[in-house]
This record gives sequence, structure tokens and C-alpha cells, in this order.
Amino acid sequence: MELPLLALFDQSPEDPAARADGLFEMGYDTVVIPMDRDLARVSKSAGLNVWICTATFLVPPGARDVLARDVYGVPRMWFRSGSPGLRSLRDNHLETVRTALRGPRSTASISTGSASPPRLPASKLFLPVSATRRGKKPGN
Amino acid sequence: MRSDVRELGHEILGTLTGWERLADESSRESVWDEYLGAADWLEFRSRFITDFVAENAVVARDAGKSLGAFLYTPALSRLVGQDYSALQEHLAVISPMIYRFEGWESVLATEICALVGRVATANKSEEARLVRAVLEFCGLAAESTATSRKELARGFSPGAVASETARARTILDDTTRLIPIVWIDDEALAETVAGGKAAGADGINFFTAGGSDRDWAPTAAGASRAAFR
Repeated sequence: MELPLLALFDQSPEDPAARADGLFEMGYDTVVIPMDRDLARVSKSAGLNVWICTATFLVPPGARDVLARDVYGVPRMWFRSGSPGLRSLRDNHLETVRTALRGPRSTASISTGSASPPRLPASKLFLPVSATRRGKKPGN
Repeated sequence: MRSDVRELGHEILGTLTGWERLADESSRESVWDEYLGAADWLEFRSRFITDFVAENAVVARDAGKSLGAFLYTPALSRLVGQDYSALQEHLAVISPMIYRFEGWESVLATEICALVGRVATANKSEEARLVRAVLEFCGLAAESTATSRKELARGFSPGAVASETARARTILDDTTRLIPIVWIDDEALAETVAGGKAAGADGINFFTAGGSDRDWAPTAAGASRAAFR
């Protein structure tokens, strides 16, 4: 099992082959990349380990009915993700991971949220967001 | 369960006195005892995530591959249902996202600012007490001298990467590799990387958002070679 010591999370470089060669020469042993067969191929050819990064519980465009709900029952998009409790989203993601790992180029898969998500901090998903709107005074 | 979470949000996480109770170890447990449903809610979220990661691990194992995960850093992980202790059984690599500047969600300064931003304060003295209480509760008081929201937004010292790495290392056993991911665009990169290594990191991962971030790759490689090889 090849595990990273010095890794770089890299996204869509303009010249993938040159980029991969350069990273290897600098001493990187691993790149973490999106699911991109060409990028995986040139990275592997350069001598780098390839970890495929997949977004988890990804919401299909417009599918608001799969969003997680806060404690008030309000649907919320977070990290471009839907509800972890929905079997359909879980199955979609498992199929994505199967696809990512199918080729011989990848060593492993790292799951994460989107790299360019909307701004909704973790605390906003857990906490009742209307608390501040109510304007409660400290100590009340 | 939900009503306890709502009440915890309004009465504890929405008030200065509530945060000060959470920050003080002697009163922290009593808060959770008062809002048992909130603790259940966190446990419920954690179970969902752990079960799902276990399903992913089976897929990876069937393909003869390994599974890793970028997780929230220990200071924040409990809020999002990520239990390092439970997850390590299923993961070959855990990469805490220890981003010490302000940016998007998962970034330390952004998340802490969001927690502070929910609470109304009457003056600078109250704001300072609130900032310190939130930092204390998150285990980050030693890594920031901030006493205002504005100062907090400037981010954390490189020591935050070391301390969060050490917290993760304490939880994880030797079967899961700990490879923190840090922002590559960091003027104190050498200190950040060396601190992570000293705190028990098995390797280091750099996040690039593309563009000029890539220019940092040689500097990052040099800092890492010095620390890890």
C-alpha cells in the first residue's frame, strides 16, 4: 500500500504532464486529484502516487429535496452536500467511489466536501441559526 | 432531541454567559447534562457519518485500494459528526484540514468567527470575554491572542497546526496515518510544517486552490523535506 508522505492537493493544472514531472522532481510522492483519468495517468507516469478525491453527498443541480435540514426543519446546502441520511445520496457516492477506484492508476480515494463550496460554516448546520436574529441579549 | 438543541443554541451558544460556562471545565459537564438531547444529536450525527465511511471502506477494500478522508480539525470535528476515534477503524489516512486563516467553511478562523458572531455583546469588554471563552472551549486559546472579532479574523499562529495535529495524534493509534492538510499559501510555511511533524504528523499535504498557489509548491517541498526526510 502506497501512502503519502509529501502530498499536494492539485486541481486541473494547465499542463498536467509537465506539472506532474515537476512535482516529482521537487520531492512530492503523492498528488490528490479530482476524478480525471488523464490527470491520473500522467501523474502515475511521472512516478507519483495518485489519490482520487471525491465530494461526498453531492447534490445534483436543482435537487433541493435532498438537502439536510437544521433543527428547525429548514433545508440547508452545506459543502454542496445533501443529507448524509438519504440512501439515494449514499448510494450515488458509493458508485462514484467504485468508479474512481476502478482503474489501475489510482492508489486510493479520499472523500471530502467540494473544494469551492458556498459559505456556510459548520457551526451554522448544527446550531439554531435564528438565535442571533432574535437579538437575544447576553445573559438572558 | 431537537428542542434540546434549540434551547442549547439560544441559552448557551447564543449568550456570553453560556459560552463562559462551556469554557470553564468545572461547569462544562453540567451544561451537557442540562441539554441531554443536544449530546444525543451530536452522537446521532456521528453514527451516521461513521456508518457511511464504513460502507466506503468496504468498497475500497473490495477494489484492493485504501480509503482516506479530509476531516474537520479536532477543534471542530464534533460539531459535524466526525469522530476520529470511531472513524480510524475504516481509514488508512486521516487528513485534518488545519487551515489557520480565514476563508470558507472548515477554516479555523471562519468557523470560530461564525460561533462568536452569533452572540450579541454590549461592549468591547464583553466581546473580549466572548472571544476568549469560545477559543478556550475549542482548545485554541493558546494559539490566538485575539480579543475581538476583527483580530480573530486574522487567523491563527502556526502553533495551531501543531496543537491540532497533536490532538489528532492523541486520538489515533498507529494503524491510521495522520497527514494534516494545510494551506500552501503560508508565509510561515516552514514553521507550520515543522510544527506538524513535531506534533506527530506522519506526512503533510498541501492544499492549493490553483492559480498562483502553485508557485508555492517548491517552497512547500523544501519545508517538508527539511522536516520529514
